[in-house]
Amino acid sequence: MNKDERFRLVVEAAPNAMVMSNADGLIEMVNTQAERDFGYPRSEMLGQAVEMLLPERLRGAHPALRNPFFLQPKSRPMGAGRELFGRRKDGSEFPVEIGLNPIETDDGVMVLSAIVDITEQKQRQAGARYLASIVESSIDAIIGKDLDGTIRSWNRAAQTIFGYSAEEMIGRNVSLLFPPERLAEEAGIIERIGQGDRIEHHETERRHKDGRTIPVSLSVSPIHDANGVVVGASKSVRDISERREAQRALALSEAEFRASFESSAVGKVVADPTSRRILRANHALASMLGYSVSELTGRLSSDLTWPDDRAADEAQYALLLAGGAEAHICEQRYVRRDGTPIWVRVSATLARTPESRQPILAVIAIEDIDARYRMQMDLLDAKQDLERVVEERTAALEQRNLLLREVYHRVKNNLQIVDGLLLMQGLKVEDARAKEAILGIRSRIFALGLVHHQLMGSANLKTFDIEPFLDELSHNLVDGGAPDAVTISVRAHTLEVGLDFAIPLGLLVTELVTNSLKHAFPTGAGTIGVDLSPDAGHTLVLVVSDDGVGASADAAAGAKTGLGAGIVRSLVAQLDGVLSTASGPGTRTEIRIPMPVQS
Amino acid sequence: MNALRHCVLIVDDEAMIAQLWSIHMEMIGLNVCGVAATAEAAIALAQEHRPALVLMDVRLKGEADGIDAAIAIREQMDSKVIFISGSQEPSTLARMKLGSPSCVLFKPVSDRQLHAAVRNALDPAAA
Repeated sequence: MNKDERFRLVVEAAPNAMVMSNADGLIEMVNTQAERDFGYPRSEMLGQAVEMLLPERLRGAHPALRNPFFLQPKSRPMGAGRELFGRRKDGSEFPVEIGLNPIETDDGVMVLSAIVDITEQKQRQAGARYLASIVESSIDAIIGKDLDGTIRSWNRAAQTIFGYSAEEMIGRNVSLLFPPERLAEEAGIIERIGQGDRIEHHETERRHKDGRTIPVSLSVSPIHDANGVVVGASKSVRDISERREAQRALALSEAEFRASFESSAVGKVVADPTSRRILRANHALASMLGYSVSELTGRLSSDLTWPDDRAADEAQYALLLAGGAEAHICEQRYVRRDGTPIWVRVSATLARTPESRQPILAVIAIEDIDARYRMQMDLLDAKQDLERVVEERTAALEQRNLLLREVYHRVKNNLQIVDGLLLMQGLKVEDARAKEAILGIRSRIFALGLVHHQLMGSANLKTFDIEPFLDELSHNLVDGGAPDAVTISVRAHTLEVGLDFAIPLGLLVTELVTNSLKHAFPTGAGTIGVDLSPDAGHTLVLVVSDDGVGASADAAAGAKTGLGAGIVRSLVAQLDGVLSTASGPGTRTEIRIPMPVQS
Repeated sequence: MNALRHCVLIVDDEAMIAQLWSIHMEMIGLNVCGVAATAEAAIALAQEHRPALVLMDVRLKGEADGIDAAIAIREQMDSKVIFISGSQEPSTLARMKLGSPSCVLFKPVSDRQLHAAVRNALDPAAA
């Protein structure tokens, strides 16, 4: 075997593709691996330009790169810093590394290219980069460490969580991250990892660079070497501060709810919204209805409603469930354990899922309004009783008024009859004095009738104004029994008086005016004055005066001893009055009377 | 319409009062053609005697009162009516107007009031 033959065998046996080309770039020799890698049979490559093995886009620039090699031929890798590609017969490309070696031959300097398909290597590199980027972008800290605790890798999340940079931590010991009281933990972790165990979601605490303690969840897995020997550990650390905070907030909110639910003075129920089965009931409700809490749990809340009120309750609840109402609030009866009804105010609301608005829970507050309701009912009864009493009283009052009017009417009628009898008697008697006496009696009876007439016309049937009464009374006396030239003037103040005052006063005026008419005007002309006015203090002053001849001796004697005088004395006494008379010119009688007290 | 007669019909269910009015009418010089105690009797007597004046008490025995009688009488003839009432209920006063009375007197009625009312009813121009 000559030297060339040996060279050829060596090339042929090389594990890489080998291509030898001459200074013109034509292929002089290829090996079997080259045939495999590029997909051409040897016969198709030999004598062809080496550019056939390059992607078409690179072919044009290649001859210019090829020439400098021949000017300074020496072994070197090709295309420093550039990515190189081969092209198969089928047109597909693959990444390559190429080593160039000058070969002295009889035909001059050749270049032997050793071509390595680096597809797999590239893929491995890409995979590693991919993994590294996953590690880098993880929100969990991922820390690689040796079994002695020396940190070998430190991702970005580790920096975020612990505050140290990779530069600060790589090569340092993980014990730096432990709060002092937790240092012992590491020995246990290392021991377990050494045995090939994993640690998953171990919740503990670590220390931040600034000294504060961070709640974390740890997962630790062993790192094996190619022989399966544990050489280190990969530690994944998650900061669970927020989760802890959320858990604490949730626990607090649950505690608050429980406290408000359990200690509420108002009855409360949490029930399944569809079946209305009670999931939870509080003590207030249990004691309101006479059950224990455990007896209520599991019952249907609708069963607590008084049977007569169930239909309305169901209808309202259905409306709530259908979303037609925000809350179902009503006053209705519940039924106690002993079967008696109790009035309650029920407020039911539904808790719904935020997204689908599906009801999750029915929350019902039940307030005991039984006492209030009974009070309202009692009040209503009392009011009705009162109305009935008022009605009866009103009816009684109307009855009384009717009766009073009837009595006044009768009195008036009877006085009219008496007057008629006297009139008839007066027509029968011949004696002038007897006629005059009868006329006097008729005047007095008229005064009595007039009082009853005033009373009948008053709104309260008890009092009336004295002024029009005195006016009518006085004028009637003068009109009925005096010559036309006698006139009367009446001055009185408005004053509400009753029967007890009006009758004696009316009779007094009748007596005094009649007296004047009888004695004062022998000429048949003159004036009579009647004046009733209040004085200082609670005194009324009645003055009856005339401008007549004054009392004759006869008249004066008569005035002291006659029937008229006796009547006047009695009436003045009845009124607690004081009488004084003055004579000439005319006669003036003054009677001071205490102001009547209104009852 | 036949002429009215110069006489007075007295209507009152109290016999003594009816007699009293009769005496007064005689004092004035008027002839009393009848005395009735009920509305029905009053109407019948009025139809019979056609009085120039009716002295009519408002409250009478029986269902109908003096106002009903006055209305019925005045529908048939032009008699003057004087109501003599014991009552002054507003509702009664309002109904009295339906009888178109010449005058309304309230008990107690004085001699002078009655005489003046009668004279005025029979001869308004002279009053």
